Parts: sequence; structure tokens; C-alpha cells
Amino acid sequence: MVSARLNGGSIRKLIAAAVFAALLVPATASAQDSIKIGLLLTQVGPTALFARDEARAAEMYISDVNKAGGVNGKKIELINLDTQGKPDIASSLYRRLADQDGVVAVIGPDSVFITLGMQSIPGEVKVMSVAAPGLYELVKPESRNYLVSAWSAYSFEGTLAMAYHLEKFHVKRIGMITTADAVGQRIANTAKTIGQKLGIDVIAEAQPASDRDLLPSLRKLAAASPAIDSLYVFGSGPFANIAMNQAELAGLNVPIMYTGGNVIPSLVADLSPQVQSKVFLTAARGAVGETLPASDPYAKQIHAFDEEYNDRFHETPTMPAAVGYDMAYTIVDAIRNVGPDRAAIAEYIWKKQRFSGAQGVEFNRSTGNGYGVTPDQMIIATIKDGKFVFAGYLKDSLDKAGLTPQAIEELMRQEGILAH
Amino acid sequence: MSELNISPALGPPAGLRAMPMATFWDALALRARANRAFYVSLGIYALFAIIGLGTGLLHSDILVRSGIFFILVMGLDLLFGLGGMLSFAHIGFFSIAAYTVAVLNVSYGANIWLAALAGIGLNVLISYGLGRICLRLSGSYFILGTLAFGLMIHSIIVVAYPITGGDAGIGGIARPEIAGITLTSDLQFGTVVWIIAALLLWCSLSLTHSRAGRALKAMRSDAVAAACLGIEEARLRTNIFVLGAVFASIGGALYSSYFEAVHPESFGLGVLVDVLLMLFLGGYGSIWGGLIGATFITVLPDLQTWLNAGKELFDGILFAIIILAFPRGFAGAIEQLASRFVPADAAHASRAGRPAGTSLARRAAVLDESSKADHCGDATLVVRHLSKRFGGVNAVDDVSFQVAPGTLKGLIGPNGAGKSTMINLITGILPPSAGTVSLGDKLLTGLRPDQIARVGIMRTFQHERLFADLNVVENVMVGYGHGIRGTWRELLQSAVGARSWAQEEGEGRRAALAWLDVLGLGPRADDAVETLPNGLRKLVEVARACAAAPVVLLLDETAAGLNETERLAFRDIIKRLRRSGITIVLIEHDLELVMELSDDICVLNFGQKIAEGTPEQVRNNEQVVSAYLGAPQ
Amino acid sequence: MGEIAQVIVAGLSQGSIYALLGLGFSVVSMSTRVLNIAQGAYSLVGGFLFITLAARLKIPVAVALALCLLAAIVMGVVTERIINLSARPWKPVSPETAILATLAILVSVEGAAFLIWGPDPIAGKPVQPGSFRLLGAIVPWQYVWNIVALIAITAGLHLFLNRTWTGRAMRANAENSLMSYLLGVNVRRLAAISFGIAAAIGAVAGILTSPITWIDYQMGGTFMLFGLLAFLIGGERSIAGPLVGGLLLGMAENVLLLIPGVAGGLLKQVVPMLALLIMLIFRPEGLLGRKAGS
Repeated sequence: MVSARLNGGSIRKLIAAAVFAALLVPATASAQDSIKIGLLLTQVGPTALFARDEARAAEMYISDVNKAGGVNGKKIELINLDTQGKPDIASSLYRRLADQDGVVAVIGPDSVFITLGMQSIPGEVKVMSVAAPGLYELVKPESRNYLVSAWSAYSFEGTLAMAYHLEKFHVKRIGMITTADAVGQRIANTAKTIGQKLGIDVIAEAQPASDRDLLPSLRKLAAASPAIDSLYVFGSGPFANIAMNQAELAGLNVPIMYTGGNVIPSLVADLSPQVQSKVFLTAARGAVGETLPASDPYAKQIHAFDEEYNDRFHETPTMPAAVGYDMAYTIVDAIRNVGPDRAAIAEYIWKKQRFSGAQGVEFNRSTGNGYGVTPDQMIIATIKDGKFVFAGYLKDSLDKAGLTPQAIEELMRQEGILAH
Repeated sequence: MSELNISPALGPPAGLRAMPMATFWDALALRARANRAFYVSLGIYALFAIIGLGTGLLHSDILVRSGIFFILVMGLDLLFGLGGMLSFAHIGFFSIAAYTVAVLNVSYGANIWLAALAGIGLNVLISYGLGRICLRLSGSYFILGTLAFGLMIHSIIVVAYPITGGDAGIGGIARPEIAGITLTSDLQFGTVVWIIAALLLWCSLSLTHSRAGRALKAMRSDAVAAACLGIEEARLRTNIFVLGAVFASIGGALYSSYFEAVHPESFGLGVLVDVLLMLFLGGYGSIWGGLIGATFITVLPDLQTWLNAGKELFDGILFAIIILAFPRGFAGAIEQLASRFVPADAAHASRAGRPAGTSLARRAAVLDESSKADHCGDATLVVRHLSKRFGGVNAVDDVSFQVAPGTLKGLIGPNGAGKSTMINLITGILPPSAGTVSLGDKLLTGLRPDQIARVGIMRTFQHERLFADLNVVENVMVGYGHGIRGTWRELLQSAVGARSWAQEEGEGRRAALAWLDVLGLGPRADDAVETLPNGLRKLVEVARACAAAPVVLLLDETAAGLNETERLAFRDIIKRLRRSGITIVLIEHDLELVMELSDDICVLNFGQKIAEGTPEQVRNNEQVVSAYLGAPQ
Repeated sequence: MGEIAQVIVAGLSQGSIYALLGLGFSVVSMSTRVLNIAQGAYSLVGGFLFITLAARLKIPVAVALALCLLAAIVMGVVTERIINLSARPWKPVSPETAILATLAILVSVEGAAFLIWGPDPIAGKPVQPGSFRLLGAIVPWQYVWNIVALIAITAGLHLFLNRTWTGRAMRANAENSLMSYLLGVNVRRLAAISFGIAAAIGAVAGILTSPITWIDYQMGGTFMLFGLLAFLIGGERSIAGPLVGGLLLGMAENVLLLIPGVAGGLLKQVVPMLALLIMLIFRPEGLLGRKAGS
């Protein structure tokens, strides 16, 4: 039987009182006459740093907007909530933002599985969600009306880095290490499909996403015959980190490509210089900021963003920061043009063409294309001294490989990224 | 398997049998008073909800989420608070039900209510299997087995992604419909959730305050003693395990339909910790405590927005503080407070149990009267060539004797002679190495202790084994009515039936009090067992065995440790029992008592029978004398 | 051939870590019959602290190691004190209280680790960087050190339990705690010592595994789980049990990866818990354990 007592009932009462005191936080009153936008990100768990950067940049943008007088005279208020990494809580919070807080749109959720877990809610409450899932294609078509992705460098594009590897390294065979689950398998299939188009043979090994020693799979790839010419690492979180780091150990001295969302410094901080120089992955321009060629049309706006962020937070912004900025910008742009009307905002965002922000891509959304970004907008990045640097334009490699925009569009339809 | 249906030698006293049967409404009123926690806790919660929603401080989704988890926690409380089984598996059942609803509804378009039933059915099957496996394990290993199951389910969900969607989960689950209305709003859904929760709360509280509840607490305190009173431990435990799974299933089905999506992350280790927090913060054992726990933990994240990064640390510390300093949680604290202000209820109940205005003598006379009532059981207890070997030691060596019906047989011998072992063999606690025990033409060897108890053989223990979690009169009531087999019928009757419950409780309580009165323990009826000195506790054990209306009563060194008053009370009751025609086997070191009361005596030494006969014969037997009696007088 | 060799060496290395974690459970069960869920916390803190001290603060490795062990021992002793707050030799703590209290400790330590070291996994420093080839497999030197550590610690434990007075007292206590108490053995001190030893072993496991598997705040639970599995599969209250259990577990896990495609990875996730359930059904005392007396 559970039985334990502290001496003196008074001590226990004190503890109880202290615990209660620790919990009572006065409810904050919200200002009247402001336009409310929800901010629903995951502040705990392995992706906590993403959320931090996304929130920072979004708040930075909103405060700039408010300083300049707000939108049509009204200030914008961000209501910041934590999903705690749980789709059910995210659902409830989303409903709350819609029904009780009266937001006109929501920035977030940020991770793909939270988005998938609550994908039907935005459509139910008819409040636009500008989210950041790297696998938007997994969202059901009927749930997409009020849900778009602002994450420009999605997995399909990441897989297209094969074209770069083909061009630069003449690869004929790519070995892939991926996670043994639904998402990992889907990407492996995408890789095989694209590989077919490019004339590249793709073999894949899988281990559970929670595995930490990936040498067995990497060794299998290293021992493959005929040998692989490139390594494709898929997986978010520690899985990809470890795979990239163990690649060298496994005897794989080949170029590496990566998809998984962690295009942040800590992904590559522990990579040895030799390995760093072998990594070539798809990214949005915002990831390589300073090293963009000066002639790049987006160089100026990205530098401006980087500088402002650096001034404010004394840190170079990461990709998630750029995404956060873009999410906020997308919504405010809509409000500026159609006012704080939920349905109008949703329609506007879907129709808006030639929209670009800190990520350095142009969003052209349309019905059935929730990303609004095509692969030819991506760049190829590599790593130097722990930072992401510009290595080339993906478009060039795609052209050289003979992948026309129509062919790519066809592939995207096949993969469900473009719905009819 | 058919048991010997010997009607009790001691039925409810004739005078008491004449009392009118409670009407349905009386019974319901009695039940409502026993279940007062039901309307108090729900009433306060309703108040809290109305105020919260009205002022906007409480979000409507909290209402629904706390209700769903309350249902799950209630199931856990039945398992642990009542049954003493801490299970980490039931979050697994929660997720199985949620996924069943998800898959059936989304992939096959099944109606939500039907899908929920399917989920419950599936979990009943699985929990039966898992229960059989885990309930064989004890203590930490049981908990581990359940944890292993829970984690395995989690892995299976991730791994079987063609069906379950794996890490992507399943979305687009429909909301249920009632009478054409789809439950789209929080208020609509919440109302349905809370109606279900209230029903389950009522049934759970009823279960707690019934024979089944007492049997569970008895089993939890001392499984051996419980078995010897006819409680079938294995079946009772399994069925409660399955019942917990049913609760979890209901919660899981509601969960998936409310959130319209399921995802493995929603059922992971973090949720398990949250649910445990709910159980212990609320207060295990109370059933209604889960209401406080579930609401508190559901509201918590909103209260500690500033704690975001530190949330896990906070939860861990809170958990540790509760387990170590406030193990009974809120409900425990409130009940402690309440007991200081409302002690009257227990006394009221005692008074209600007693026939008005009867003196001790009169009540004793009533018992005597009933004992002359039809006494069946002309069966002889026959022990034939019974042996028990432990390694190289013959604790009992080829002993045979008979106990004629209605007689009192003394069983004596020096320490270590094998007397207690003999009782353990007869009652089925130990299997014999050789030989048989039978009552009449019914073979007893090979039966479980609870089966033997239901045949009508009751015993007391050498080292008193009262149920620490029950008070005195409740201990005695456990004996009444041939034990409980833990069948679904019994459980459902306990949970739902009002009239049969009222009648059962009334009769049982009256009989128990009558027995306690005869032993002079009436005033101590509502005391906790630990407040009684050893001697009185042994007498309570006797009362407990007698309340079971045995055909054969085995008394294992009851007189040891009794003071003079207690010893006299013991002697008196033996004499009364003798008058009623019950068969008694008396093991004692108090030779004066044995010589005075026995019809014949059997003497054991070193496991062997060295003498048998009338007290006169035994006293003068040289072997017995040399074994330990000393010089004849 | 190379594939098989790779799987075997990875299995031995991982198995050694599991065995060390299992030893932590085994040593604790000698003083109290509880399952110390907090065992995972010692590995977590040991690993993180070592990286911070040795790699970030550039403290000499030996000193860093000593500090980590010290921190772990303190944590272990504190765990014991917390669980046994109201326990007495004749009234041991109930299994439910012990499991729940240590679970609370594990959750708290993981929460603290999240606050201190953030959500990202970090890589540890290997004892010896680099690798060599063996029968077609790549063997990082760290693999070897893991196995060496297991052998060394096992030998040390064996000597301790059989040659020293304290060790023998611990074995006696494992057989019959109440009797040991009545014979004058300071049972409380033994409990503290056993928890301290278990924590130190756990810390070593965390330090050794972090170069290969990296370490992040959520791994406390993983460490605990695998240690528990090794302990239960091998059988309680012996050194050989966790050894056998851990190595078997590590090998089995990696051997599954020989299955081509994704099936191996999928099975690998389900097999550990399934194995535990099967053990509990058919042989709850573990492969090497004796059937528990009543």
C-alpha cells in the first residue's frame, strides 16, 4: 500500500500552498480593437528550436508592422500558444483561437505530424492556417481549403537534389537511408520514382526513427554492389544527424544529400570538414543568406531580413526563422488587401501570385497547389565551416537533366503534391 | 463444477428474517446515500463548469477533454484503488479503441457508435488474454508486463502504417450523431461525455460500496484469507482488469471522435505520465477523485504558459511530491476532512443495522434460535493417509482421522507437530504429497481454497489475518454469503442492482453485527482493524468465519494470545456453535480448553498421529504424556 | 559476410551498453526489490555532463570522468533516500510507490536536461576516435571500448561482491533482507551503496554510448527501458543475468536488420517489447534466474 507521511501536517500544507501559488497566473486581458492572429507552434520537444526561431521572426515582423501604424490603423495582436507536441491539444487550441479568441488566421502548426493530426480543424472552423509542414502532400485534399504550407523546401524538392548530383558527380546509383515508418517509406518511393526519371538506380535501407546507431544500414549501403555514388539521408531529428556523421565512419566517401527539415546549424555542427564539403542539399535561398551571389534577385531582401534579425537577436537567422517571417507576412499581406475577414483572407492567400518573403522564393498558390513553390526556385547548398553556403541553382541541374517544368509538374501530380 | 449445496447451518436469525424487504425506491435512496460522493462531486463540478464557461475563464474544450480522461482514470482507479493492481496497459487499450474507431469510420464508413462497440469488444478480448498473462505476475512484474504491453501497442501502431497511418496518423474521423443531431460543438459533445461519465461514476461507486468492492479490498489486503472465505481471486482480478479495459475503451472511442484524428504521439509515454498524475493527484481509491485529477491536469497547461520549457520538469516534481507526500491526493485530503466533521454517518448505519431495542442477551438468544433451524450437513470430514513433504521433512506423515458431523475434534501436539500444516492441507492452501481429504462423498483434495470455502469449510488463522483495508464489521461481512466468485453477473448486480444490493447489504450487516455482539465486540464494529488489540482481532476472525455460515469450522490456535475475558468469550461462542450442530476442529495449546470442549481428540507429534480418543483416554495415554503433557494429575 | 560481421560487432557493442544498463537494475535489486525507473536518468546526466565538462569546458578527461561519476553517485543515493523515505527493514517500500516515485524522478531529470541542454541531440567524445576493419566490417574503436568496459566493470563487480565484506553483505541482503538486518548489517547503508554503484555504472554507459548514438534529453526513458529488458531477460539478482540479457538483446536487435528492406526496421521496433511479454509469460524469472520462492 502506498503510504508515506512527512512529519507535521503543516509542512504538507505549506507544500500544497506553494504548488498552488506557482500555478496562479493572472489571466491577461486582451486589447480591444486589434486584429488577432494566432501563433500555434510546438515549443517543447526535439523541434523546439524551430518554434523558437519561427516565433521570433514572426513577432519581429508583427512588431515592425505595429510600429509603422498597424494594418489600416489597427494593431496586430499575436496570440502565442504551445501545442506541446500533441495533435489533440493542437486541435483544441486551434478551435479556441477560432471560437474564443476570434483570430482571423493562424500561423502554424509547425511540424508535419501535428498538422496532419489536426488537419480537418481549420476547414471546420473556417480559419486559415498558414502552416509549415515539409510534407504537405500528406494532407487530405478535402482538408486543404483552409490550410497552406509556407515551407518552401519540401521533401519532393529535396529529393530532386539528385539532379545536381547527377550533373556534378555523374551518379548512377544512389543509396538511401530512411526511417522505417510511413513517412520514410513514402519518401523512399518518391526517390525511386524520380530516380527512374533521371536514370538513377535507388536502393534504400530503413531503420526505426528512434535508432541511434545507423552503422548497420550504412554499411549495407557501403557494401552494395554495384557501389553507390551518392548517399541520400532522410529523417528529421537525431536520425539524420547521426546518419550524416556516421557516413564517413561507414566508409561512404560519397556526396551526401539530405531532406528532413533540419536545415539549421546544429544539424551540421559536428560534421567533420571532409564530410561537410561532400554535402549538397536542396534549400531555399534564405538558408544561405550571405553567400548568395550578388546578382540573385532575392539577395537584397534576404540580406535585409538577415541584418534586421541579427540586430534584434544577435544571431544569424536560420531557415525556420525565415519561414516564420514569411508565415506572418503572408497573413498580414492578406489583411492589408482584404481586411480582417476570415474567408476573404483564405481566398486571397490561395489566389495571391508572386508573393515572396525572407525565404527567397516566389509563392504562387492555386487550387490544388498548397505549397505554391516549384522546385526550380530552389538552390543547392553545401556546408563550409559549419554554415550553409550557396553551391548552385537547382534549376540549372534540372535543365541539364532534361527535366522540363511540365515533367516535374507531372511528377508532382503523381506524388499528390499537386491535386487536380 | 457443482459445489456441495449445503444450506447454511446458521442462516439469518429467524427474528431478522421477518423484516420487510426494501422497496425499490427505499433501496435507491439507500444507494444514493452510500454513493453521496456522486452528486456532491458532480454538483460541484457542474457549478465550476457553469461559472467557468460563463465568465470565459474556462474553455469549453477543457470540459470535454477532462470528461474523457475522467472515464479512463475511473477505470484505472477501479483497478488500483479497489483492486490494488497498478496497470500501465490501459492507456494501450485507450489507444486501441481510438484507432479502431478511426479505422472503421474512416476506411469503412462505419457508424461511430458501432465502431465504438467494436473497439470495446476488441479490447475485452485482448484484455482477457493480457489479464491471464500479467495477473500471474506479482508486484513489480505485473506493472512491467502491463508497461511492456502498452509500449508494444505503441510500436505496433507506428509499424503497421498501412492500416494505422503510422506517424502520419488517421484524420477525418466523424463526430457521432444522436437522434439526427451531429455533436459538432464542444457543449453538445461534452454533454454526452459527461452523461456517460456520470453513469459510469454511479456504477463504479456502487461497485465500491458493495460486496464485490469489499471482496476486492479484502483480496488486495490478504489474498490468502480472502480465498479461504470463498473469494475466487483469479476470476475477480481478471474481470476487474477487463472492466478497466472497458472504461478505457469508452474513453478512447470518445477521444478519437472528438478530435477527429488519432496519432501515436497522443498515446505515448508522456500521456501515460499525465494519466498517472491525474489518478494520484485526484486521489486513488475514491473513484470520484479522478474528476479533480483529470480536470486539474487538463487545465494545467493553460495555467503555466510561462513554464513552457520547464513543463516536463514541473510535472515530474509535482508527481514526486504527490507520490511521496500526498499519496491519497485531493480526495484523500477531503475525505479526511469530512470524516472529522461527519462521523455520525457510520454510527447511524450501525444503529440501522440493529433490530430496535434489543439487548445483548436477546440478540444472542435469537442466534441460538436460528441455530436450531434446519441443519443440513450430515457429512463427515474424512482425512485419509494425508502426507506433506517439504524437501526431506515430513511435516505431515500418513495421518488419518474422521470428524463426525456435529462433533468437536481437538487437534493437539507440541510445536512443529504439523497441526497448522494439516489445516492448510484441508483448506487447500497446500497441496498434499499423498492422501485425500473429503467431506461426505465430496473429494476436497485438488480443489482451490475458495472452492473448498464455498463447500462450507471455514477457518481462522494462527497469525491473525484480518483485512487491513476494511473496518471490523466490514471484515465480518466479507464472510457472509459464501464469498464472491467475481462473475460478471455479480459485478453487474453490484454496480447496477439497487434492491438486491440493499437486501444483501442489510442482511449481511445485520448478521455481522449479531455475531460481533455475541462476542462482545459490538461497540468496536466501526473501528479500524489496527486499533484493536491482538486478542480482539482474533475474535473478529472467529466472527468472520461464523458469519460465513460454515458446515465445518477449523479454529487454528485462536485462544493463543487471548486474555481471560476474551478467552471466556471464545469458550462461550464455541459452546453456542456446538449447540447448533456445526462440526468443529479445534487446534489449541490451551489443554484445559481442549479437554473441556472436545468430543474426541487427535494428537500429532512430528507429523504423525500418536493418539486418538476421548479426552480421558488421551490424557492417560503414555505416549502423549511423554510427548509433552507431563505427569498425569 | 561483411554485412553479418557488421551486425555482429554492432550487436556486441550495443549489447554491452544494454548489459551495463541492466547491471544497474541488478545491483539495485540486491538491496531493495524495486525496479528503479530512474536508472535511465543516471546515464542521461552522465553522458551530458561528460560532454559539457570534457568537450565544452575542456576539463581533463580523467577529472571530468570523476566528476560525472560523483554526480551520478549522489543522484543514486538521493534516489534511494527518496524512495525509502518511510520504509523500514520490516516494512519495505511497496512496488507501486517505488516505481511511481522513480518514474517521477526520471521525468524530472529529463525535464531538467531539456532546460539545461536544450532539445537537440549532441555527440559525445569517443575514447579513441577512428575505426578499423575486421572481416569486412567497419569497427569504430568505441565499439571495442564498450566491450572492454563491460568486461572490466563485470570483473570489478564480481570481485566486489565475492571478495569484500560489503559485497558479501550485499549478497546476503539480496537473499534475505530482514535476516541481514537482524544480524547487524546496516541495511540502509547497503541500500545507499548499491544505488550509488548502479548510478555510477549507468553514468559510464551514458558516457560510452554518446559518441555513437548521440544523446538527447528524451533518451532517459530509452536507457531505462533497455536496461530493464536486459535485466529481465537475463534474470534477476546476478551479474551474469544482465550480461546475457544485454548481449542477447543487442545481437537480436541488430540481427533483425539483416532482413532486407524495411521489414527489419519495422520488426526491430516491436521485438523488444514482444520479447519481454513472452519472457513474462513463459519464464518470468529470466533466462538465468531461479524461480522466485513464495
